[in-house]
Amino acid sequence: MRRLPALGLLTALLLPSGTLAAVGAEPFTSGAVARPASEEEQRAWSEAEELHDIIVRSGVVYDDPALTAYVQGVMDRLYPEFRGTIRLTLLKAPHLNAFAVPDGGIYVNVGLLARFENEAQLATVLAHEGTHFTHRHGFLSARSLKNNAALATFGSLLGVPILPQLIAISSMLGYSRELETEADEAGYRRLLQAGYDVREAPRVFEHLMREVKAEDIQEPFFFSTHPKLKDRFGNMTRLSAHAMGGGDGARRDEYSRIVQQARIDTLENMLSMGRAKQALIVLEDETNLRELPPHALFWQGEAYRRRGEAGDAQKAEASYRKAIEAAPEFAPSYRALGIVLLKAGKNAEAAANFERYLALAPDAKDRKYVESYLRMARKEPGGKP
Amino acid sequence: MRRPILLLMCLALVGCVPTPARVDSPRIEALDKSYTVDLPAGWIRQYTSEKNVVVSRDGFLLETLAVMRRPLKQAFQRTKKDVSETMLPSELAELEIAEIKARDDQTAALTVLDNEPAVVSGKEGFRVKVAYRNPRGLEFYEEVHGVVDKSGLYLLVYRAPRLHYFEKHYREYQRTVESFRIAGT
Amino acid sequence: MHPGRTWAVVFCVIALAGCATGQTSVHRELTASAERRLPKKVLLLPVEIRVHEVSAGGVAEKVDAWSETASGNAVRYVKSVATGQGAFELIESPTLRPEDTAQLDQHIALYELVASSAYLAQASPIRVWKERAKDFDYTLGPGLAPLAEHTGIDAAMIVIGSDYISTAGRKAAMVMGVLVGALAGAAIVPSGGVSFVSVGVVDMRTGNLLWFGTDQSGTTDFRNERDLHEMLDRMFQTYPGLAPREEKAG
Repeated sequence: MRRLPALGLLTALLLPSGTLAAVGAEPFTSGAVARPASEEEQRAWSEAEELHDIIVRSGVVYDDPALTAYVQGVMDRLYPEFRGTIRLTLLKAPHLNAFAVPDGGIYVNVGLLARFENEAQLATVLAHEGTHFTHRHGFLSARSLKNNAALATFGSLLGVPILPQLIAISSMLGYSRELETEADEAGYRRLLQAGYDVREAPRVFEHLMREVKAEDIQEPFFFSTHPKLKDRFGNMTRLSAHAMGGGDGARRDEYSRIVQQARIDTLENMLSMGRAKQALIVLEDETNLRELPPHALFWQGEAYRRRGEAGDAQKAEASYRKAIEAAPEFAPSYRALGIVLLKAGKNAEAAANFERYLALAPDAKDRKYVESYLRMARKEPGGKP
Repeated sequence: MRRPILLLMCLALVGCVPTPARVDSPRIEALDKSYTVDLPAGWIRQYTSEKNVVVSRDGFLLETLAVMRRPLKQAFQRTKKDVSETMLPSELAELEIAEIKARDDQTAALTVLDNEPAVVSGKEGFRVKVAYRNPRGLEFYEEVHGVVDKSGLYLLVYRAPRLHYFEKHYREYQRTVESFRIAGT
Repeated sequence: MHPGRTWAVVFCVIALAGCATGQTSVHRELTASAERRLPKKVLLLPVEIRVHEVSAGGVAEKVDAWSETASGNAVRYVKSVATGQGAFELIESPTLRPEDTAQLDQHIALYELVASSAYLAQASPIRVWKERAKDFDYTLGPGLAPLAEHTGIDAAMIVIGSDYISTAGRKAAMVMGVLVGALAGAAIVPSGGVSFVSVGVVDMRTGNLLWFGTDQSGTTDFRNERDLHEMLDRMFQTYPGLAPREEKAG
């Protein structure tokens, strides 16, 4: 999920190495036969079903039926024999993350969709997550977690429900080396079979590595037994090194059209969460900016303002001015510029911008704020002394 | 919100903070003397490890009313943001919204219902009201009044389920906000 | 958080304080009433007793079959109180409109918090919370009144519980986990396991929690019908308007 809890890190230390073959189980070959093979596996499926209920009830699902159908379509193209069994749900979170649960549920953050450049990159992640389901990695890891006597030495882990920890472990930082390698390689084969341009696969890890850097995640010491993102990038680069051109899914413009609203929602969400560094990964890229509406320069300004590093105030002002030039009817740019100018003591220009904002957006929800700032700029009674 | 509530309960149990007590005299002074405030009479008052005060009538899993002072440096711990006395109310409000969103996966999906200027302790501050659901799907409202001063960032927070409880005690929260005074103002 | 998990977390925080005992409470309005009888037409909401297996590694997994057995044991007990002792008329599975179902679901979610709060206050070692619990006026509010009007149901009975069984199938001496797990939102479960059950009766018109009982044990197994029935029997001794049951021989 979003954060790897301390407990997840501890349990990840003790994750198994070993695949289904090692425990005498077989991957699912189709949706028709994909069902729990034991009472133990049934428990994992039941918990997955309960988790889905929690996800739906708690308001974190990104409700866009058309986009969900599109992503489901990509998954069905990769896993046609599992149509109806592997079920996609989009989540509102802006982080680059996706995870699979034992009963075929795959959850994808819209942040992931928004960051990718084309369908082939999205398919890379879906192919990987699909393998976690078809190869029963969730059940396998749960089984080992339960039976690992060493866990009993950690008093704080007594009675920990399995699934949340597995999700924390499986997302972003991965299962064990063997399971992640299996998912990467089997997923890669799915990409080839489905006709995707596999040269896009390593790009996924570039995006992830940039995200890890922006999040300032320190890869913890247990990575010595788990494949680092860098290693997985290298692995995927090696696999696709001899790929011929002509694969499908690398067309950027069509993908951008499909995910446009998700990108906008994700950017706004990231900014409202204060994730300015992550937003600038997108907003400092000229190609991305060209694919966003003209007023995206306003978001760029907001990201600089909220990042607040040396020189960012000036960068923010420049971005707001460019946004006004590119989209003169987009009201928030005037408000934002007005605030920058007010704080710099340029009251007359600040007031002009506030007035323009209120003229363009008379029903703005933040009208009262802007009116108070206008009074400040005009140094009227009731303004800040 | 589950973790801070459980921490509150455990801190009280193991005696890390003053024992919970009923609010018998309405006007209280902060432990660090930075403010005075009226709290709802008869409610149960408890202090956090940061010496902030939290009160509830029915239990911290239901309604909570908290009065907090945070230092200007790292005022927002989850998002690691400082505040300054020169910040505008809307800037403080957006930092508080980001901080609430950073709390857990459910608050990350919150909806902002209200966000407007408000007078707090005679100074220009903000009022924010947000809605989010718990993992069981129960909707919560959380309202925050905040203001910054050279002595810190002050927040008055009221949180309760939308069903029945938020409206039930909202008037007490309003009175608390109206009574709040930063020391020396 | 699933109701069973909420309860497990709440319970274990209190149990750590060493103050866990069976408790029942009656709403102060009912206590003040001369008649002191609970409503007659009672809707039994789906009983949820989650029975988990705790592995050697200390991980708890809900076992569907065991949970169904335990929940069935509880349903049979409640039915026996209704039919055998005539305490109330039990309504099961009424026909509800979709908007009623949604409203009921939200109120059940609220009930979990109200009941948890009541339990925490009852079991708290802190004086002011104990006093709060004695002034028992917990409520869900009047939001279910339209549903009551529509269906003619007076009250809802909610039975929730958890049990934890070690893979050895025996209850070992309790070994309490540290608080960290509870604070992280995970259920802290002693390696030997603990059984916990609560029953609440909510007035559908006012939302008042009219009667509320909880009990727990380190030596019971809710898969065993007799274990659960004995625990519920002790609890229902205080059910207002119910004639005391004769002591069973043996």
